[in-house]
Amino acid sequence: MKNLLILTKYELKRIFRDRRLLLIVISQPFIIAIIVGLLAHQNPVDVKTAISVQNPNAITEAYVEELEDDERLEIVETGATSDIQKGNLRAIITVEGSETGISQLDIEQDPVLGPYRAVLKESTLDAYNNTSEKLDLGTELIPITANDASVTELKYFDYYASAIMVLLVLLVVLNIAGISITSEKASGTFERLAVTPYSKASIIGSKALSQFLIGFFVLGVGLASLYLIFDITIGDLAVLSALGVLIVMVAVALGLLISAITKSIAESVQLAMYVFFITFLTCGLNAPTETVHPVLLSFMLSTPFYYAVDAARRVNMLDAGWEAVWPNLAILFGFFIVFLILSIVMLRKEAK
Amino acid sequence: MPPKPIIETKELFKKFGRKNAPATNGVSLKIYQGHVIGLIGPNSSGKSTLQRMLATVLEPTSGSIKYHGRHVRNGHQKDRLRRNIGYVPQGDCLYGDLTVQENLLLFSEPYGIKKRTRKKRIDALLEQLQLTERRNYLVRNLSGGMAKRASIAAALVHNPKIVFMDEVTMGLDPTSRLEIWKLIRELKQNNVTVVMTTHYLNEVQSLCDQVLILSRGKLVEDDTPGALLDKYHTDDLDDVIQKVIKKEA
Repeated sequence: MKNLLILTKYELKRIFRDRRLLLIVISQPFIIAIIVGLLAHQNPVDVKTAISVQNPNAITEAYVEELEDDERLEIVETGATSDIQKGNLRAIITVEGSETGISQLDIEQDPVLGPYRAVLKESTLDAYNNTSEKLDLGTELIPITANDASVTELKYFDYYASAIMVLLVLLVVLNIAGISITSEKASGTFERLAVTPYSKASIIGSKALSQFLIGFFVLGVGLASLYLIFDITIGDLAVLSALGVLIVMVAVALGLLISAITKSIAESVQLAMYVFFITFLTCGLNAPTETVHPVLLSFMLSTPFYYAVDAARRVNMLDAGWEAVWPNLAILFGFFIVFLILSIVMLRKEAK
Repeated sequence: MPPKPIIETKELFKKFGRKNAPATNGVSLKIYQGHVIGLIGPNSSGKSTLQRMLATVLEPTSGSIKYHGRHVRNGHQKDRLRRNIGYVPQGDCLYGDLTVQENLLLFSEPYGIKKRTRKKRIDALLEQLQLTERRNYLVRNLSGGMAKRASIAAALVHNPKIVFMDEVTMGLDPTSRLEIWKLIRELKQNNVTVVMTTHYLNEVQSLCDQVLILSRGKLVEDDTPGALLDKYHTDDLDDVIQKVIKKEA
């Protein structure tokens, strides 16, 4: 234990002495949190939409007025498919009038909008319900409500904040931890340490401890930036803190494993970025599990950061407590132990 | 009663990868306390591999190493041994972003030396290696010669009984080389065993009590410099090496 603390002290000294590295590490969570926060800044507004009315009547007119009042849409006078192709227009809503009201609604939309396309469906449905109510048409439509199972009203960014928080930690920690052993192998200091009474476990442990402190600091700065600037929902702070500790621990252990199994700094950096990008794609940020191919889903379920993002989202967005996320916490702890043991085993194996 | 060897190896064999030829192939040797041993041979002859196995950096694929008559097999025995050895690798192998003094403290901490003793030892070493004025310099800001001296200081800071030096004078100017020669002689006077690999044969002739010549992983000669010169009827170790390699080829 004493040796571990001695090595940790010098490890931290070395990190803090490199001021440019420190500046990059400290600014990363803050700057990235701001950029992502501004990217997913608001619910979609002013989606440029053209309306084409066939067989107009009083009901279609009232319906168009409702659409025009909707802040989510910016109604332009005319538009054609070519305007969507040119990027001048996001959608064309075609309203087909009939003797009794509206017989058909068609939405032609720009697929670039991706998941935001749902906004157009919501707008047209809301306008229909409002028209129906205002004109007392006795419509057969059943009013539909869909609410998030959250205690607070979620803002658009809240859907991203949890995953970003996890990915931020992973990005910084993987990069530092990923080269920590390889750089020592390259400089020869690792070989030198290996013939002293410092054990492999102490060497790995000191790196894990110092990088854990850096990672936890990064998590704190990232979370504070997201909370103070974008007012994200936090949820239960105690659960979130425990989750944060585990996320940093797993990221550090994974970084050390990468460093232990790679032979050069370039290899470590490449592998760290490779792992980061795969994690970015499979952590659940980009697609819900319902859309994922079963084979990839099995892979996702065997990676730690899927459970980290899943738990972070439930804590942040649904105010989930210990009883809801303890399995995720246990899985993360398991991954930490496995990665750490593998790192030590790989380093010992190298001497053979 | 004949002296007992401090290090004894039997049939030491090391192979990296399945397809490669063995780096060392059945090396058996004995090394005695207070001797300076020169480990020489052409490139890829297995000098560094042998030295790294003796210094416990690498584990042999097969064969045995004994220190003071005891086999070194498990972690506990290695730990005990590591308390008595110093290792100067081929590069400087210190932390460039720590000062000379911080490096010496870091490498001396795990030996359980009392703080006051350690401080005295570091001061003496820095003085001996002419680094006192540079003690608070970051290692990355030192010249090649100074960094090498700092590296030697880090290997000696815990008063080891055996010191392994891997091409320690390579790339140094003549003055720095002579300073290191002087230091090696002082170590010998203090009954410290020095095992050094080198390509400078005048170094071997001038410093070593025992010469081990390796060729293609095999120990082909093990004798004193004088005996080897007599055996090959020459007054130049370089000739000895050439003749040995020719014979082996």
